[in-house]
Amino acid sequence: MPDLTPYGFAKIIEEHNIVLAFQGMMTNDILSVVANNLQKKHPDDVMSKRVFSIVVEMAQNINLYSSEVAYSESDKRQVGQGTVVISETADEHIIYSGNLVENDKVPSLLEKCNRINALGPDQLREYFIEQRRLPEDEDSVGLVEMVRKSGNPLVFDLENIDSHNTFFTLAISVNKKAKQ
Amino acid sequence: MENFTINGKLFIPSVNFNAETHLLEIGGESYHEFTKEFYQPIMEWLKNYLAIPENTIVFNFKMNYYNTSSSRRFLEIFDMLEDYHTNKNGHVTVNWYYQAGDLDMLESGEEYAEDVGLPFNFIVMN
Repeated sequence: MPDLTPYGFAKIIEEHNIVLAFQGMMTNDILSVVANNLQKKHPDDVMSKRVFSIVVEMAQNINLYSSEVAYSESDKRQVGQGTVVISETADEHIIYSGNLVENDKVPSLLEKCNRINALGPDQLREYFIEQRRLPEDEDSVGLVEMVRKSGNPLVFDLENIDSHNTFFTLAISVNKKAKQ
Repeated sequence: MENFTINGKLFIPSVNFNAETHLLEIGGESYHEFTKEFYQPIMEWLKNYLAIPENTIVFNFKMNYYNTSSSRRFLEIFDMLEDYHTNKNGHVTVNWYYQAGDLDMLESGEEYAEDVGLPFNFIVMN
């Protein structure tokens, strides 16, 4: 059993190079805290802006598409819940998101991810421009943005939970010495 | 008509649309979760403002960061301005400002310039 005393918890966080982790409703207030935190650590850095933009797109997707929802008093509506974790090593940031999706949405999600991963930088640019003109719930703009900001493909995993839900994990790494 | 102003904060952009000088400015950050609702009054104002033809409009775009959802709203704004520029005898210029070294932001501007029929100037800020 993991040691979840503050000392044990701090050790787990350190071992996994976690700089920020959040679970629950992804509200604007939470994102502002993330932005503030990244800016303090790496002020005026293009890299931290890219990391932040990936976190924002993940949070937005969780908000809209997580099948686990809760009522947000500040938003006056149901919003999706999920998990976002940022880890940082000497070479890279890895940003993870996890949330439940309904089983019947899995095939289209899989298709979107595979399609994006098959595209090179110039194709991604054209795809982004094209997708931005599609109706909002059909597009892949958020996922395309994540890939373009990271310079790396989407690493994803879909694990069936029960007859209704699948757990969707996404991991995006941003190399610290990526194209500037 | 009245000018339109929003004082920006964390995830909300500063907006200064002046109906007399025809200078429209937006800057700061935009990652509101519900951009359709947030941008609704801005779109409303623009719709009324652009009903008057033949003005020479300067749109200063000084955003530092925005999410893809806001990027859709900006596309809608550019589409409205393009229609004005093309069909209402208007003249619209977009000044796209970006921080020196922030090539991502320059690229984002170039992508709009490719997608909409408006003249864009790209201006680096130091």
